Amino acid sequence: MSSVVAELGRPPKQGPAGAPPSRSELDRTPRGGRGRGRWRALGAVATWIGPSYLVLLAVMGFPAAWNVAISFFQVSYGSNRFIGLANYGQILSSGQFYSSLWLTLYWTAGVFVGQFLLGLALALLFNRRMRIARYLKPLLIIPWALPGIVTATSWTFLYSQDGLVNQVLGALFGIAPTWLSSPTLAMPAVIIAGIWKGAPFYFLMILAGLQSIPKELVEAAQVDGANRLRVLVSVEMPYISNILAVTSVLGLIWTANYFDGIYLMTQGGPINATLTLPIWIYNTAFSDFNISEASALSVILLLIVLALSVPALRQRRRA
Amino acid sequence: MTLSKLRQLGVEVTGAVVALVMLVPFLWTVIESFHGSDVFAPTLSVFRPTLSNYRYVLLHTQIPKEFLNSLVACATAVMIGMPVSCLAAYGYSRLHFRGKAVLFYGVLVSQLLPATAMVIPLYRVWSLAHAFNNLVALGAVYAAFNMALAVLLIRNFFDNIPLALDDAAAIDGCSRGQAFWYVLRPLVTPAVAASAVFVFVNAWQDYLLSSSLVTNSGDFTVNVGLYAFEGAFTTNWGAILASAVLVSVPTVVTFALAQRYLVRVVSGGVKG
Repeated sequence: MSSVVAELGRPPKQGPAGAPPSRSELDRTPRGGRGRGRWRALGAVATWIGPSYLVLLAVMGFPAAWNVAISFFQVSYGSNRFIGLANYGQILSSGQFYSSLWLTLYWTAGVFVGQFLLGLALALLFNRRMRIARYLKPLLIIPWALPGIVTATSWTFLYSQDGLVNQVLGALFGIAPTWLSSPTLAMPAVIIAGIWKGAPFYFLMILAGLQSIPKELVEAAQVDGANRLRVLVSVEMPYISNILAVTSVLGLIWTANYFDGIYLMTQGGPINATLTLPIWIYNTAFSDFNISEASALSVILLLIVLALSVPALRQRRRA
Repeated sequence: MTLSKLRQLGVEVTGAVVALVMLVPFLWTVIESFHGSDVFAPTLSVFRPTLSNYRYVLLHTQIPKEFLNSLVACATAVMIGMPVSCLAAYGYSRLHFRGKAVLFYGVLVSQLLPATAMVIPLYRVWSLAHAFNNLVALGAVYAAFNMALAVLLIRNFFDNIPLALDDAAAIDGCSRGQAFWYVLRPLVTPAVAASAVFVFVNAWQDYLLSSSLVTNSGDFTVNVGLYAFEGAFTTNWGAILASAVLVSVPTVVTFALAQRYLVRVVSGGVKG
C-alpha cells in the first residue's frame, strides 16, 4: 500500500530528481580551488543523502545481493555447497510453481476487480452533496487502517461454522458451507476479505480525483444531453484516467505481493488452495525448512516484481 | 422543493447505510468482544455487554507485553526514519551534484521491493549477524521499508519552499546546516508529521517481517503474539476478539484523527 501512496505523493510532470529551477546563495562556491569545492560537495552529499543510503543498503541492498549469491548454494547441516542453478531448476520443474503463479493471478485479479468497482461505487456515492459525508468518511477508512491480523481474525470469525455469514445464509437459504476449509470456497472467501480491506484506498483516491473535476465540464455534458452513465464514461473517467492508472498498476503489484491477510486466514491451505507465491516462499522456508530454495524463489519473485513495476515507474515519469 | 429535499434525505440515508454495511465485519468483532465467552449465542436480545474478555486479555495473557514490544519497534522506526528521511529530502531538493537522479531513482526502486521478496534475504542476513529478537533492528527494517515514502512526501514540501528563504538565511550568515535547522525544518513539519503517521501505521500492521525476524516468544510483536494466541486457544473467541480490537486501536485512532489532513498531504500532487 505504501508504494501506491508514495507514488501518488509525487507531483506529476517532474523528473525523479525534481531539481528546483535555480540555485540559492548557499550554493555559492567559497574561497578555494575547484578541487576543494569538489570535496566539499562530496561531503555535503555524504552528510545529507548518506544516512538514508546507509539504512537502505543495510536493510535492502545488502540482503538482496547476499541472497542472490547464496541462492546458488545448498545449505545442509550448516555447510554450504555450490550447486549453481540447481535451486532454480528445482523450482521451475515443480508443478507447485505454476500452480502458485496461477493462484497469485486468480487472487490478484479477483481482489483488483472487486476493490476497483467497490471503491468507484463508494466514490460516486460520496461525490454527491452529502452533509454527513464528513462523519462517514473516517469510518469508511477503518478497514484499510486495520492490521492484517485483525482483518484475518474478524473474517475468520465471520466465516466460522456458526459465524455471522452462515447464520445469515442459513436463515435465507438453509445452507452453511465450510468456507475456509473448503478447497473451492477458500480462495473466494479470502478474496472477499481482501476486497473489503483494500477498497477504502481506491475510494479515497478516486474520490479525490472526482472532486478535482471542474463542475462546468460535467454541466456542459449534461446540457448536451448526456445521461449519468454517459457523463461517467465519457467525461469523468477520462479526466481522472491518470489517477486510475497509477492507483491500479501499483495496487496490482501490491495485491500480488500481499501476504498477511491470506496467510493468517488459511496458511495457504486447504490442500494448497490459497498458496500464492508469497505464501509458498514463506512456507518453503519456515515449514519445509528449505531455506536454499526459498532464497532462489525470492530472487524469482523480485525479478518478476521489478520487471512489472519498473516500466510502470518510467511510464509515470513520462506522463 | 419537497421532492428535492426528499431526494437529498435519500442520499444521506443511503450513505449512512452503505457505511454501516461496509463496517459490519469489524463492527461484529467489536460487538462480540463485549459478549463474554459465549460469542456464538444466536440472538442479540440477551446481549449484556461485559468487559470480562478485556479483563482476561489484560491480566492473563502476553498481549499487553507484546503491545509494548510493538510500540518499541514502531517508535524506533519513526525515530530512525524521520531524521534520516528529512536530511535526504533536503539533499534531493536543495543540493546540486552529478548522480543525484541515479541516487533518487535508487530510493524509488527500494520502495518497489516487496516485503515478501525481502523476508528470506533479511532472514539470512539476520542469521549471519545474529540479529534475531532485536526490536531496534526490526525498527530499522521498518524505517527502510518506508524510507522512500517519507523522502518523497518531505521532498515535495521542500520543493514548494521558495529559494528566497535560503538566500535570506545565507545573507544573514547562516551555514547550510543552520539554514536547514532554523529556517526550513519548521516549514516541513506537516510533511514530517504525515510521514511519521504513515511509517507508524505501516509498521504497526506488519506481520510478515516481525514473524520471521523475531523468534523468541518473549519478544513477539503484538501481531505475531495474537496469531500465536489464536493458535493456542482456538476456542476462546471472546479473548481473541478482544485482543484483535486492542491491536487495532493504535492504527484506527491515528487514522481517524489524521484522515482529513493525510488525504490532503498525499493527494496534493494528483490533481488532474
